[in-house]
Amino acid sequence: MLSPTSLKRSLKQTMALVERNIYLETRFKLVFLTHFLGPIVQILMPLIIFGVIFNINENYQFGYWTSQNYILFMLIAFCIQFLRQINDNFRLLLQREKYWKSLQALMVAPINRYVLLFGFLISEMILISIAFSAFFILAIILFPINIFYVILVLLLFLCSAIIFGSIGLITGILIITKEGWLGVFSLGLKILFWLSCFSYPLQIFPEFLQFFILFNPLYYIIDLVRLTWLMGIDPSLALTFLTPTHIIIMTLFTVFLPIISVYLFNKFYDRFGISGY
Amino acid sequence: MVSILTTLIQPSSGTANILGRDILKWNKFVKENVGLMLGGDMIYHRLTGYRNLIFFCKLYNIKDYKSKIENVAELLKIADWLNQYVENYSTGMKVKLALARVLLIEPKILFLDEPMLGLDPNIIKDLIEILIDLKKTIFLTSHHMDVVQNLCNRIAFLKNGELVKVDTQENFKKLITEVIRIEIEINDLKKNELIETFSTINFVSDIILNKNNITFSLKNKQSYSKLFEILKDYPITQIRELEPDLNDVFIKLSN
Repeated sequence: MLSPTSLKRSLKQTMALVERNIYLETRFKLVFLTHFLGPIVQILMPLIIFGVIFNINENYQFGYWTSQNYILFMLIAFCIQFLRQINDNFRLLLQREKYWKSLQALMVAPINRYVLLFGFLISEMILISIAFSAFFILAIILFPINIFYVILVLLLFLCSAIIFGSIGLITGILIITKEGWLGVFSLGLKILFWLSCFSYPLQIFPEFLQFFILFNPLYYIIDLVRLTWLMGIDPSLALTFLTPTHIIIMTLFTVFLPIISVYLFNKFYDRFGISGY
Repeated sequence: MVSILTTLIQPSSGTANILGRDILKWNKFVKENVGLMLGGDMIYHRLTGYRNLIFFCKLYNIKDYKSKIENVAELLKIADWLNQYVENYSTGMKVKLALARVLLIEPKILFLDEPMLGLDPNIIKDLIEILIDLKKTIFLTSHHMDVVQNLCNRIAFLKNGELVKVDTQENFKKLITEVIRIEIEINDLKKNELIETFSTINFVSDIILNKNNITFSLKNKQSYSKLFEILKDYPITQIRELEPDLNDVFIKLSN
């Protein structure tokens, strides 16, 4: 259990990391700006495709995706994509620190590894906040929900950020210790993200793929954010698709994934150290 | 070894004590009391010098860090550069900043791994003086025998990761006193002829030619008379016996 003194110290260290990350990330302004364009480019294509599909026939429906709400889900996908980027950025930062040979300075300092996780997470959330807020506010203007659901959705976004940050810490420790394994892990992650339906409805996929998607925790995490917003607009439609699995998976992953990621980080680091450079 | 002692990595077997405490059991205590410097690394090139130092002060919970940064920057003569990005620093400046980072932490033991690599002699001289004035326990690893000679009381020689010998500087020098190193300055025209002569006699070895200077080892003091007998036929302008230094010890032990 952390004493108040060590908690205060950990908070100060977290804020030091936040400050440092922000300075590092904004060193080259143009590179920083391209971070915002990446997610937009990635989501633009499905947005166009759904626009065409629903233009052909307004009565098409894929699960709870309809011509009336698909733009909302695309805006949520924009936001999720920004959060998803936390994972890639965490890996990139640790990779750069390894090659800059500055990582040793962090690892030799008396800091708790949770400080590393939350320091990075908070700095990334600050860095994406402008672009994220723009899409979030646009979604509220186009698809208004009451304040209760706004707060609930924001909380779920926060949980998602913690989950993506924790995945980032795991990919980060692999880049530090075992770059060979990172390739396999990244491929697995790509498949998980691809089967997460973050920019497509589940029902648009063939049945055999739907079977696999239903085993993917990321699907439930992203789907819960969409369904919570839908609860604020059309509760009866949302309740048809909302299951206890959504809530259980989101809760378990938010609570346990950070613990697992820090545990793995410590185990891998202690066993292998910084290797490959 | 430095990585293990500073808790950067864990030993595959065995353990060590720092300030009387086991590095595995007292990991946090050790981290709080040692400062590690790996040459000019462990600093952020994309931040200014000042930003780097502030970050590490906050990480180590250093109180009143602004005045401390000013003092350390003055001591290391980097104050004028602190607001520049580190990417614009020379190698010497980066090393000084890396040292400033370690000094700000105020560690009880300083671990310096090759701190003078790639530095010009003036900066090396400055840093040696600063390190001596600190009056702290310093664990230094270096291939620069001049630096070791100026800084270290006790020296350990490692070969292929194994400890060859640990002793004081004086005792190490005694190891090579039986061999005499001599340097002579000779007229350019006859130097090659003398080197050829040296290579045929058994009491002269390790011949090194540097411009008009020839440095060599004389087997023992009894060989002096034979040496002078040979040298009298050559235009020697200067001859002197060299003091044994740690470079000689290093060469002897590594062979």
